[in-house]
Order: sequence, then structure tokens, then C-alpha cells
Amino acid sequence: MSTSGIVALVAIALVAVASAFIGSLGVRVARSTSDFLVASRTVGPVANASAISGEYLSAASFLGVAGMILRDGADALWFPIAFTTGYLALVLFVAAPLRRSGAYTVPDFAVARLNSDGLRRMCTVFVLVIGWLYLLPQLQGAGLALTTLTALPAWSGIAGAGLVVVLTVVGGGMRSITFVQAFQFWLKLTALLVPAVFVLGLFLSDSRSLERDTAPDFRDATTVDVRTDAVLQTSETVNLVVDGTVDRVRVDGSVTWAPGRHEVAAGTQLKFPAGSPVPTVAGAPTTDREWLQPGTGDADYQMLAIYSVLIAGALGTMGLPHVLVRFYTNPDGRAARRTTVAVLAMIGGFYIVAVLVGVLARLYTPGLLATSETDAAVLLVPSAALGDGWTAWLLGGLVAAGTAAAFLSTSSGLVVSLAGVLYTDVLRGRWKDLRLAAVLSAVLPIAMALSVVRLDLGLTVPLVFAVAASTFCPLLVLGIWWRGLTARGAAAGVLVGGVLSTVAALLSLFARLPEGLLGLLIHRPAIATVPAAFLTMVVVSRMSKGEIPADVDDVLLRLHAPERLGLNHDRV
Amino acid sequence: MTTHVDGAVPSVAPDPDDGNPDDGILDDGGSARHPSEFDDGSQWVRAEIQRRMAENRSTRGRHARRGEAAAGQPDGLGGREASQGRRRKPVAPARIPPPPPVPPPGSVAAGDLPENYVPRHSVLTPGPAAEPAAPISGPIPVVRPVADDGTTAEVPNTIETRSAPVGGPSLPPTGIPLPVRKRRTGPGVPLHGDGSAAGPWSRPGSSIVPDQPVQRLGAPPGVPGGSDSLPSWGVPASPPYGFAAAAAAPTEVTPRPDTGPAEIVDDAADTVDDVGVAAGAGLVQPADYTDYDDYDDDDDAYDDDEYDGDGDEYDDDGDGDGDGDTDDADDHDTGAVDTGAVDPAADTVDTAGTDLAEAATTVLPVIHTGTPPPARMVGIPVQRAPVHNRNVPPRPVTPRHIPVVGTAPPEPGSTRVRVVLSERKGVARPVRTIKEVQEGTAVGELLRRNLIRSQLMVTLRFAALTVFVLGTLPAVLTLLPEVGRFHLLGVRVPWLLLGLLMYPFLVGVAWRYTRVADRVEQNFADHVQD
Repeated sequence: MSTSGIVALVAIALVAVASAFIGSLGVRVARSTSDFLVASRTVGPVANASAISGEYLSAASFLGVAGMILRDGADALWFPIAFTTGYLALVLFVAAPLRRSGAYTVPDFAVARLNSDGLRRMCTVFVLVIGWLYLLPQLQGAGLALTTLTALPAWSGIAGAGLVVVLTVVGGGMRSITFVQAFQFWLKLTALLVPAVFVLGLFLSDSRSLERDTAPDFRDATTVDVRTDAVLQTSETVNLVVDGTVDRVRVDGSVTWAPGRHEVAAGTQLKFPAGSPVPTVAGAPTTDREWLQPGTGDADYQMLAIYSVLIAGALGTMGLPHVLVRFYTNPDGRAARRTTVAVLAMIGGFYIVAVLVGVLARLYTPGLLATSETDAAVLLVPSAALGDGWTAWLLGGLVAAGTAAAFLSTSSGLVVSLAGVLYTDVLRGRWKDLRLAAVLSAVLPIAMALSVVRLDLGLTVPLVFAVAASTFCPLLVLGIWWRGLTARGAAAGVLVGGVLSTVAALLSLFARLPEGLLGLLIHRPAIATVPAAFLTMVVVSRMSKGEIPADVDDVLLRLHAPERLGLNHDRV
Repeated sequence: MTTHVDGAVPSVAPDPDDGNPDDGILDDGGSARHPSEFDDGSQWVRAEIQRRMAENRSTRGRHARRGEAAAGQPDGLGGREASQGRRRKPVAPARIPPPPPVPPPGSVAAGDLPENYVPRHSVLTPGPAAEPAAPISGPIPVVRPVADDGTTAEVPNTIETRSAPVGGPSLPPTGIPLPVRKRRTGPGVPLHGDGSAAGPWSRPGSSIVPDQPVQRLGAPPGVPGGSDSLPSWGVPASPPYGFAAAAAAPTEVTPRPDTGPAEIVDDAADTVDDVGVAAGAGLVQPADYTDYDDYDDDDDAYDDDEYDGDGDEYDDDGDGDGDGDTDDADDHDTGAVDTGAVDPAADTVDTAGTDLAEAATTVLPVIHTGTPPPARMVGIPVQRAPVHNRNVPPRPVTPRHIPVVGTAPPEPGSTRVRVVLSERKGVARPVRTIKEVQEGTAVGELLRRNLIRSQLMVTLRFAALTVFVLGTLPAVLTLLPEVGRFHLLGVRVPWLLLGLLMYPFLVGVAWRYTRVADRVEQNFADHVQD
């Protein structure tokens, strides 16, 4: 293992220890149920917003955004915007009323608003689906990070990461999670910002520019191991040495690729000489100038895909189980709004830096383009730009620490949320230990992460958002703003949206997608499933008008009236 | 608090009442029967009256007079004529004890409460306060325990007057003197139904306890309807006052003549519920508060002050001090004295200021129930103790007190108990309008719809802006590639827009939205609470 790998491992270990330490401090202070569940509502908007941001910025955000920028250029700018807009939708439609509803989770909200146990169970199922789907990219991201940083096999990264998460949750380390999460947010921001500033300084003194009509080139002779089947494309003639299967032909020797697409089978090794143009994954822009220009990739329906991602991101955030829980910590609805605005600012700032790192990666780590591992860009930029040396190693260690924080915070938050749901709704009375529920909720995604081919975080994460947007978003938005919603209508909408989007997500993960519009809709389902869910909910509610809860007016009033009128009562 | 009261008093204390009531009351009620106890009530009343006068609600002047008149007339008790509070008060004690007696008056009052009262008062009052009485009628419900004795009348008058203005409930309260500090001796304090008749409140001795109050205190259980209102009274604290007597009266009281009262009642009820004051022990229920709040909202300070002040005044009167000029100090003092243990709390409450005041106010409402004329709330034992509806376990209004009240009129001199019905702090300050909103009345429904609709409109406006920007940009950038080649500040426009400027934009939209949404909520809350 190289020095940089050891430094990275030490940094990751430090993060784990620091988190456990801060967590134990909190545990010592916590004295009541209220402390445990909502920190007694003494957490200010900024600290609370830090915690929400810390929990929200996952490995997918930390690694994935820069990777998507590296590969797709201007079109990928919409991904972080979509994720950020999610918080705008949250503050506009949901934040204050949800806080006032006293609901701790979406199933709680379903009961509070529609008083239906059946709907609650259905929501519970989709909380689990969303949580598990979201844990998948988190675990895979951790595996990728470990592999990239230390050259250990990918499965060890996934298994190790899963183990760490289960241990932290079971050990109670996440109980006093607020300050741990807040700490991890600032760590993540630092871990991204400091290397970005270093590399940016280098970039500004560099004569190279991205304004050129050629593909990026390999600065040194590079060997690329293709781990998954891929279709590469190049706009220039490329000479390389292949050991494996290319274009369905077994090759072991020198090959010349003409401009166009080339299929590469998993397990193939490609050796590029220094100065060779870098082929890119099919569908992505090939030359730097195209990369800078929006809408230049040759994938089908790019604009549709962008809109779909925007819908998924904007409407899916409000349905993520680990995000909602935090809103109940606010003292009142007004504070909930302010907290959300603070989150918006923090996440926005983080994404600006992430985009910058993605741009720098295009210059310093173009080799990743020829693999499907563009998500490793953040991890490799420091060493690629600064070369070998302690500066690069330390920066690499910092990035590794940020990655670990990103992974730990989101995964732990998800596992805690899922364990809570499993414990209270599914295993009721059958298991007495929350820890068993935590283990249960982590086992399935770990198994999936080990068995499923690793996909880009940019693909899997929007899929999860699409499921959330197709199920809980209509429930929350219509439940808060529309008097006519009925339990039957809500259940029908959640079912339609949830089944459609879940099937699409599973097909995207496990199956080869057809070309064309259908393929796109499976790949980016939100644009179809979200309207379907809304429509179903409205139509079925209309048809079951008689079932509008009798207390609907009271409930709506409670959701919207300011606390000072004394209409709301907190349970904790 | 006191201060205001005091201050108020002067004004309020319009000549007749004030002078008489206070002094007289004090003397009569206070010294003779119940020392200053009722004073508070009167001050409070005054404050109320002033306020109302200012508001022009009911005739203030009348009220004031009414009080007297009421006292006198009702009086039967004794009179309003006697009214000159003092007498009444004295009387009051007598009455107090005999809640039963009260009933008669109370009955009258109660039965009629709203309507009857008015007429009565006016009628009764005819002479002195007659006019005022009429207006009062509504308010009068307060029917404090009219001092059965003629003497009481006076005091009551004062009170009533105020109460009357209130529009019924409110006034009474004032008069009643939430603030009323009961003097322990005061068991007598309890208002009697009489009060209703007499209108005037007897002092503790006479115990012009508003009927309702009585009920609550004494027998929260007793009269249901009354109880509600009573709850407010519920002032647990005042053990001395036997509201018991009131019990009978309470019933009557229940029917509040004026709408105002009704509302009050509701509020009171709510409050009570919340507090759970109901406890048999006399709980001081904040319920009344609520009412007051409604009435007083603006005046909270006044109320408090008034109450206190009233209390002070009473005390002062009793003491012979000027009107409770001392105000706060006095109040506190009084409170301390009166409440005894409770008082301390009361003081605290005072500190709370408005809250207590409100509470006091609330209490008053109860009084209303009683005879409108209630001279002073005397009967009402205001617990100073910060009995907060919620927090403070209602002080056990001692059952005894109740009995006392009912039974023998507590002594006039009995300790005053200041019953603080509720605190404002609490989450819920059920206000009439809030109740309406909650209960889905036409007005409430309108407010509710307005709130949700205006919030939705705000949300949709900001959402539309965002959707427009986010919806058109991808299309523009894709379909008009030229835009993407344009450089600004050395960076391509798409990168500048999407990579940098979009985030401040989103934050700005969210920030602006929170401001607007907060304002909408603020407006709604102000609307409802006013």
C-alpha cells in the first residue's frame, strides 16, 4: 500500500473516532426522551441546518457531482441544481406545515392527516424501499473510495463500510447525532474546499485551457482497467494496447481505434500512451469545447432527461426519510423555514465547490473518462494535480476524511431511520431490540451492493429521488394544501407512483435498457411517474369524496396556523 | 399592575363609585367585613370601565353607576342605594354566605343573565346607577355576589359599573376583580348569587362572589354551565371565599346575558379545560381569562393592572390608603397578604404582568355571571398566586371555602385570595376568535380559508417564479447554443448561470418566501387574536 493510501486510511479512522467522541459528549448531556428525539428543540437554525446538510450530503454528492461534471460537462450542472431545488420545494410547500403537524416521519404524517393505518403501512413500505435504494449508492461509493485510495478490492470497501455503519448505529454512537452531523458537514465542506483552492491556484497559473476542439489527453502513459461492460467513443484516432475483448473480438496487442464507438467488455485492460486523446463513455461530449456547451452530447432526449432530473430532485428531497426527521427538531414552523433556507445556502455553497472540482478534474484526471469511475475524480484530483509529496498526500487524506464523513453521516442517518420504522411498524412486538432492527435494515442493502454492478452515482441517486418524488411528494403536498384528499386517494397515488418508479429503478439497476424514449423513461422515470401519482391521487380522492376525514379542517388549521395561537401540541 | 389600576381607578372611580366604592368599600367591606379584599375588584372594574368607556362599548358612566345602581336596585340586596358600595359590601358578606340568597338575586341575574340583567340593572339601578346598569346589564352577568346587604351595594356599584361597560362579562370581571384578593378571612368573599340581585358586590364578607365563580370554586362540580365560567374563577386560591354560595348563583350566571359573556364563558370553559382547573378544589380557571383576553386583549396591561390595581385599591381602601396608587407594590403587597402562600406566586404572576392580569380579567367574567351589579368582585378571590391554569395546580380552592361561601358568608375580612386564572405564557390563549376558527363557525371558516388560501397563493407565486426560471433555462440553453458560447467575466454563460448564480437565486427565493409567509401568518394571528 502506498503512503497516500496509508494517510487516507488514517484520516478515515480519525473521522470515525472524532465522530464517536463528539457523539459520546452528546450522549452524556442528553437526559430525556426529548433530548434524544429532538434535542429538546434547543438547537438553533444554523446548527440544525448544518446537521441537515451534513446528513443530506452523501457520498453521492461528495463524489458524484464532480464525477458527473467531469463526464457530462454543462449538462451535469443541472444535477446539483436539482438537488438544491429540493430544499426550495421543501421550504415552499412542506417545511412549516410539516413541523406543525407534529409528524416525525411520513407515515406519521399520513396518520395525522388522514388517520389511516393502511396508508401508514404502505408509506412504511416505501420508506424502506427508498432507504434501501439510497443506501445502495452510499455503500458502493464507500467501496469505490476505498478501492481508489488504497487499492483494496471493492467488496472489502463495501463490507467494511457496512460494518462500520452498523457498529456505529448499534453502539449508540448516532444517538446524539445532531452535533456529529453538523461537524461532518463542515468537515465535508473543508475537505472539498481546501483541495479545490490548492488546485485552482495551480490551474490559474497553468497555460492550458478547456477551450479547445480536441478531447482531453493522457498526460502520462496510463493503464485503464475496465470493470464493467462499456461503450466508449472517440472523436480522433487512438492508438492503444488492448488485453481483453474489444468490439466483441478477443484482442491482445496493439489496436487503432477510428473515430466512433467501441464496445469494451468487462475485464479488459487498455493501455494508452502519453498524449493520446482520451475516449469517453458513449453519450458524453467528447471534445472539451462540446463539454463546455450545453446539450452537445449525443445521447437521446437530453432535454427530457434534464427535466426529469429536475423534477426528481426538486420533489424527491422532501420524501427522503432521513431528511424529514430533522424538521421536527425545530422549535416551530417559522424556525423550520429558516432552517431550510440555511440548508439551501449551505448545500448551494457546497455544490459550487463540487462543480469547481469537477472542472479541475477534467483537466487533471481525464483518464477517468475512459473508465466508468468518474466518481473517483474528487479522490484523485489532489494527487494528479500536485504529484507525489506530502502536500498531495495530506490533501488526499483530507478528501478521504470528507468521503468517510459523507458516507458515515448519510448511511448512519438512513439506517437509524429505517431501523426506527422497522422497529415501530414492522417488527412491532416481535423484536425487542432496536439494534436487531438496525442490523436488519443494513443487511439487505449491503448484500445488494455486493451483488449489483456498480453504477454511476449520477444514475442511482436520481432514481432514488424519483421514487421519493413519486410517492411521498404528492402525499405531503396534497395533504398539506388540498382539503379534498382522502385516504383512499392517497393510497392509490402512492401505490401507482411507487410501483412505477420502483420498477423503473430496479430495471435500471438490473436490466439492460431498451433504446429510445422508453429507455429514457425507465432511466429517468420521474417525469412520468410523478404526474401519474399526482393525477391518481386527485382523481381517486375526487371519486371518494365522502371519505374526506371529518377533522380535516382542524388538521389543516393546525398545519397552517402559527404556533402562537396555541393550536398545536407537541408530543415530545 | 396595581399602578394602572390605581391610575385607572381615579378615572374609573368616577366620583360616585370610586369614592364610595373604594373607600366605602374598603371600609365597609374591607374593614368591616372583608377588609380591603374587594378593593381589587373595584379597581379592576374601574380599569375596565375606563377602558370600555374609552371604547364606548357600553356606557361606561352608566356602568359605573350602574354598579351602584345595580347594587342598589338589585338589592334588593341592599342596595344599590346603599350601594354606596360600602353598605353593599357589608351586605355582601351576608349574602355571600348565603349563596342561596344569592341565588335569588343570582337567579334573577342568572336566569336572565344577559337580558334580565340588563333590564334589572337598569331598572334596579334606576335610581343612582340605573342607567349605567342598563348597559351593564349585559356585563353585569358578573353579578357579583351582590352584597346581599344593602351596604354592599355600593361597592358593587363601582364594580358593576365597570363590569357593565364590559358588555357584560367583561365588565363584571373587572368589577369582580379578578384581582380580587381574597382575604383569607374572606371566606366570606364568595360572591353570592345575591350579588346578582344586589348587583353590588359584597366584599368578602358580603362576598359578592359572582355566582359562577362561586360555583366553580365551591363546586366546580356543581353547576356545569356555571362551572365553566366558574372555572375561571375557579380560583383555587381563594379558599376564603366561599364561592359555594355562589353555586346557586352560578347557575344563573351561566346564562350570560350578553353575548359577550357567552363568549367569555366559552373561553373560560376552554381555559378551564386546558387547565384542568376544574379540579374540585377551587381552581382558578383561566377560562375567564380568555374572555378577558378577548375583551381586554388590547388592554391586557390594563387588565392586569386593573386587577391588581383593583386589588390594591381594595386593599388600599381597606387600608384607607388612597386608591391603590401604589400600584404594583400595593398589589404585590396585597397579594402577598391576601394570598398568603399563594400570593407569592401571585406576585410572580404579577410580574408576569399581563398574564395574571388577563387571568384576573378572565375571572371577572365569571363574575359577570353573577349579578351584574356586583359591586366588586370581592367575592372573587383572585388568587394572586400565580396559579396558572396549567402549570399551577389550581390551588385547591379549598372546598372549605366553598362551603364557607355557600354556608356562611365568609367573613368580609377574610383573606383575599387573588385568583390568577391563567397565565398568558401558555401556549394556548384561547381567544374568542381562535375558538371560532377552531370550531368552524362562519367567521372561523372564513379566517381559516383565508389563511390557507393566502399561504397557498404566496407559495404558488414563488413556485411559479422558480418553475419559470428552471423550466425555460434548459430549453433555452439547448435550443439556442449561441447563448452557451457567450462569455461573461471570462466564463461561459451557462457555467456562470448554472454553476454559480443559480444558488444565490434559489437561496434568495427561499429567503424572500420565508419573509412573506411569516407576514401572512402574522397577519392571521393578529386578526384572530384581536
